[in-house]
Amino acid sequence: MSSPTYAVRLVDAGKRYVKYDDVPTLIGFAKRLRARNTRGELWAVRHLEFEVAPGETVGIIGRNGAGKTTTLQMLAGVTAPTEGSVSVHGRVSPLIAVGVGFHPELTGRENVYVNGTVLGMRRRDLDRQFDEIVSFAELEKFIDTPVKFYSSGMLVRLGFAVAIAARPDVLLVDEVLAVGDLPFQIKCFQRIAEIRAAGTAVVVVSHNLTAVRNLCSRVVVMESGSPRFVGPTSEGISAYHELIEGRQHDTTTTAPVRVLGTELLGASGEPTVRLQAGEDATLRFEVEFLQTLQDPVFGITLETDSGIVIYQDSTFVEKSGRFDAGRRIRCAARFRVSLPTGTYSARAGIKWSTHEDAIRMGHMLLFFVEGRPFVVGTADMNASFELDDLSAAVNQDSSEAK
Amino acid sequence: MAAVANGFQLTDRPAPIRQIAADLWHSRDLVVMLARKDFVARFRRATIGMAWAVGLPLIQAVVLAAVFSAVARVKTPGVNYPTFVYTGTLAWSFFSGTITGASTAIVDQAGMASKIYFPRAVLPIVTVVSNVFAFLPSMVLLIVFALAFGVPLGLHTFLLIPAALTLIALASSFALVAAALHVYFRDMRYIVQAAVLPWFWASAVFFPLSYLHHGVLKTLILLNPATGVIVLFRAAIVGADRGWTAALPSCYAFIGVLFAAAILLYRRFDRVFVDLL
Repeated sequence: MSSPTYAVRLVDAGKRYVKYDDVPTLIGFAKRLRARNTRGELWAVRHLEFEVAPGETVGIIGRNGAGKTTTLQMLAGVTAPTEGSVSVHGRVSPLIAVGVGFHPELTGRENVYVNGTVLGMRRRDLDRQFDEIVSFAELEKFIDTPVKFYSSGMLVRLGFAVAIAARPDVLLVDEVLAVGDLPFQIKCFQRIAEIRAAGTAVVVVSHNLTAVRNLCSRVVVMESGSPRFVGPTSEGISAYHELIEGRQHDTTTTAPVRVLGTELLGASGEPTVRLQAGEDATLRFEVEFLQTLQDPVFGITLETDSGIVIYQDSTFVEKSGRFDAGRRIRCAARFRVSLPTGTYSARAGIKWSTHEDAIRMGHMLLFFVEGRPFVVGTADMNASFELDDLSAAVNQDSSEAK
Repeated sequence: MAAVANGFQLTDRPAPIRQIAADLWHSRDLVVMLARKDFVARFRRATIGMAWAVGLPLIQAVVLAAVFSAVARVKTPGVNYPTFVYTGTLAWSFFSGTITGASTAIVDQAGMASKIYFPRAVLPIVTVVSNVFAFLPSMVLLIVFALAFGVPLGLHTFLLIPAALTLIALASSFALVAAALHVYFRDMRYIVQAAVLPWFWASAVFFPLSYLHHGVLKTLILLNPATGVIVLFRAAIVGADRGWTAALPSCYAFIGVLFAAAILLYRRFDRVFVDLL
């Protein structure tokens, strides 16, 4: 069989849901035949169109409610589109957090067989791959215990191990990248990479933009059910940020201030994305005042790649003074990089009142820190270690007691 | 194999019947696997679990036999009454248990069904298969029971095979339709449960067909598809009711019509059941 040109193709796909006020019943149906109520309708996805080639990885990003899960359901074949078409060549395996079809009374072994069969594996494949699945999940000692005794981590590992073993032609990964401990996540990523190299198409849905950037060559940015951008990942992520900022503009009618560019400068003063721990860095941004503001607060936020805030600081305490309309100010926040190796994001912004919407932020900048070796954690506090020999003092005390 | 190996193309139009048949055929491993899971889960922890599956129709038979031979004076001349009743309660127990259990089959598995595709018809079929597993020991017990009461076996005993197949077919056809309808009308399970009560009385479980006189009542009871299965079972064990074959056409007609309805329902709604789960 000649290999197909695409693994996944959506053409003008749309999905409409009808909102029911109440649980549908036969009695209710008879009543409704007489009274034609207008039922609520919702287009969860509309005019969605993209293709994924074999071996390609495409990400779907967007805010909550953008239609990502509905799209994934259509790709899994679980629900049919109301409009357009969804075509998939080959077997689809959804990589879901908890084992599908797991039953608590059954042992891990029995659940592997059930789960594997649901995912489309044949019995002989399961027999052949069973040991591999168990060792990937690191559950050799527990495989014959009922899964109701498993911890949530063990359940996740087992579910993944089976889903990955299914050797699909299309792999759907849904927010599963945040689950499990780090060594296991690494194992999963490695296995996904192997599957990709073998020609499997992968579709990833995630809020973790770093992961999306690392895994996906193209992204689809969705907003309220419509595709806003389909194309290379870095452009897509910028488009996504613009979308978010655009939304912020919508919530308040006109803001009295605008944030222009944001830059991250290294020790040399040049814009960079790589910083060294122990060096100074500067987050610099420009602000234009459209109205006169008194004592606005200039601030910065540093976050880990999973969105945990490491450091947030501002000019809140020192009054910044009065800024007339029309003035353009450049603010530079200089700080010592005290972070372990990792990926981080930085944002700068300006706040002009205590009201929670009275804030404007610049673009989120991703940067990488090359930290001091063997330092682990969220922050590098740069401890200095001092060793004092107490043995001599002890001998002195005991000799005095005599 | 659940999802079809070649992939799929989904639009808003119903799938071709050939596709549905192929998908179902490929899912046979899944049916067996899920039925075993259901069966093991049902009976693993409950020590009386299996005994209950066998014991319930037996107890029903004993009670009915006692009540109706002593109190209502139902007589089956030449035929051992307890065995007569037990045959009926066994078949009825399978039928009613299967259709009430299967009506919620799709809705109960909402979690699994919303994550991965497999032909939804698999779920009520799994209920049927699981109940068949539980039914087999009862069949053995029935034969033992019959022999204990001096009921002879013979060529007619081979009728058990078409009887069992007809029972399974009838239960399956109702199960498929009920499960599909229950997704859209959540009172279906209660309608089925409520219907089962009077239905029992109209299914000639504890009285022979000869007890009925010509009239509307007899016609209704002959039109009842369950009657056909029960008299077929009786013909295999204790001997045929007089005029029993009159109950068969309706039974097979129901099977045919309901399977056709099931095909139409699943063809149209299989890929959109999830929207209501």
